[in-house]
Amino acid sequence: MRARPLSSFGRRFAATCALLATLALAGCARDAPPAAVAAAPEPFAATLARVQAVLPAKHYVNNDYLPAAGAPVPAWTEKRRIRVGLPWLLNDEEAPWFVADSQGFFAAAGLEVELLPGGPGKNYLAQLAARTIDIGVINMSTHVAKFVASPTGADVVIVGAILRRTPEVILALDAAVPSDQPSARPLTARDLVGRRIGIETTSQYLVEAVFERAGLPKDSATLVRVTTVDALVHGRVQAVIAWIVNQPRLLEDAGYRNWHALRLADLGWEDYADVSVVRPDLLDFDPQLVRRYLWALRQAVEFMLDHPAEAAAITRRRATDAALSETQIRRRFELQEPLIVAGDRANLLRVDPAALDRTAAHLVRAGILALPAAPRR
Amino acid sequence: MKPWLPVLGVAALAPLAWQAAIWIFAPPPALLPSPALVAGVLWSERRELAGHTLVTLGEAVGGYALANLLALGLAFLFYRLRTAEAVLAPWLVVAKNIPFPALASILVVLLGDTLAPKLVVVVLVTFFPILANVSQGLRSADPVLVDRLRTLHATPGQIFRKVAWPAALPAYFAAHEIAFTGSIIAAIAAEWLFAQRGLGYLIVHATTQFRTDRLFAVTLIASALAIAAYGLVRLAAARVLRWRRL
Repeated sequence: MRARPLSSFGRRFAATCALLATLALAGCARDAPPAAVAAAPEPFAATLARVQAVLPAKHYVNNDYLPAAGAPVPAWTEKRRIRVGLPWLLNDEEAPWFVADSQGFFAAAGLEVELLPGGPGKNYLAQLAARTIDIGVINMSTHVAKFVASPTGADVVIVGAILRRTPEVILALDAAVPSDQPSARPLTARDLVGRRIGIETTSQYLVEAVFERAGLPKDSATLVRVTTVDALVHGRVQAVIAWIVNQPRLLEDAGYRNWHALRLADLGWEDYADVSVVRPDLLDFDPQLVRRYLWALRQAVEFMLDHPAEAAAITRRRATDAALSETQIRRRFELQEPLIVAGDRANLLRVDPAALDRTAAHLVRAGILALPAAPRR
Repeated sequence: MKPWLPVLGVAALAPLAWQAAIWIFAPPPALLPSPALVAGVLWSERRELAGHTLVTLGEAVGGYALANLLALGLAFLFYRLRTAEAVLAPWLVVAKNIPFPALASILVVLLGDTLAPKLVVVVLVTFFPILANVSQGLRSADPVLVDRLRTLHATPGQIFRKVAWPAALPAYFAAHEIAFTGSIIAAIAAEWLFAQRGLGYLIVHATTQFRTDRLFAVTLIASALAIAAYGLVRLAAARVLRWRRL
């Protein structure tokens, strides 16, 4: 049987498809460019110098608006309404903002604050750039560096951080300890060799950095894109990237007290979490507003540190996206206190730009951060 | 007018309208990057994009083939055994409507970071339109023709081949128009949930890197794939169903 010839449209469509497919395959099949003579890896100091030249953290971090310990409320004459984008859904991560609101610290600073929940799909850095919020609370300072460096980013400034040491850990269950008992043995990089580790999309570099610092090959473990503790409990993975203030608590609630962790902060990884970010023009035109916000936030953090039971009760009422008991919230407070204080309670919320430059240099070397050709400003 | 002219016209005008929107409303690039920026990504990252596109295509086509096998098998079963349809149909509706993000962590725990969970998602999204259309098509066979064949002592297989299946073909191709294009989106959604390769993974990566230009580039590729899939189905339908125009 003879097939009927294609119509004019059919011939054109088929020809276009064939052409596109040929081009695509040709593009894929093209040989890799000849390997250059293997260059010696750039020394860390050289990468750091490049970061400081085109993406210096002093351009996107400013501590000048932070209140000193015991400082009085900044002067204000006009009550202001502001919109603050929070780092996640309304759970106990947002405790400082709930406390600042419920204890009247925002009101004392003349602020009426609308707290907007964060979570999947919410990009408060983009919303800052689009001027739909006044302050964005971003869960990791490295995100801010990436945003400032991105060709589709914008200028923004970190003005304070809740967690001044990174909460990031690699978390595992200690098989040598019964599940109803806590493990006293810290997890080490050697424990992870040959294991399957659950990671987030772009956290592969953290695992590689851990192995590198332990003098082990970067590919010493198999990485799987999953970060739920279920995968850990069911043995699909033997370790996961996690936040020390969060997943260990979930494991304990599920009856697994035998968790142990490798804390990235202990390896010298410098990162800040839950950072408050503003547009530079707000600092230029209304710096007092930022001072008032940071004063209220600091009072809230001090209150959490001094009165954890009351802060937990407030948080339980306000954390409407998570059914948490006060005991669970107190456990988080306990785990996060050393990260908030960072050995220096006088300097709560303060961010060290030099530390962020070093972290940015690590990200550049890991291929996670592409430096812009020139600084934004 | 040539049928492809309006398509080309829209394709040519879209970047102009896009650029005009940027000139008029001046949105930050974090929300809407310029066409030039996106074109730059498409060109400078073409090899990486092509590699991820092939991964997504493989998952979409593989899952779609499985969905066809499953749907055609069930449709044939329902055609021969009405009781099977009465028993299974409600459960298939339930399966079709499971929000697959809810299944994501279960699939990863059960199947690991392999091809399997992505194929499951593509099958879940695409098998039902095929099953529903083919079942309906088989039932729409002309009863007069069926009776005539029975009078002529045709076997059930002959009745299926000569009357029921040809009657179902237009509906089968209509299902392809929805399901084949849907298979690409389903594969991307599956990669978005649990992959380290493919266009869905690139979307996650671009989002975490705040690269809206790359996000738009991936979106354009996904759209081009869907248009190509749709065109192929139309082309195949024009060839196979040519008797309808006689």
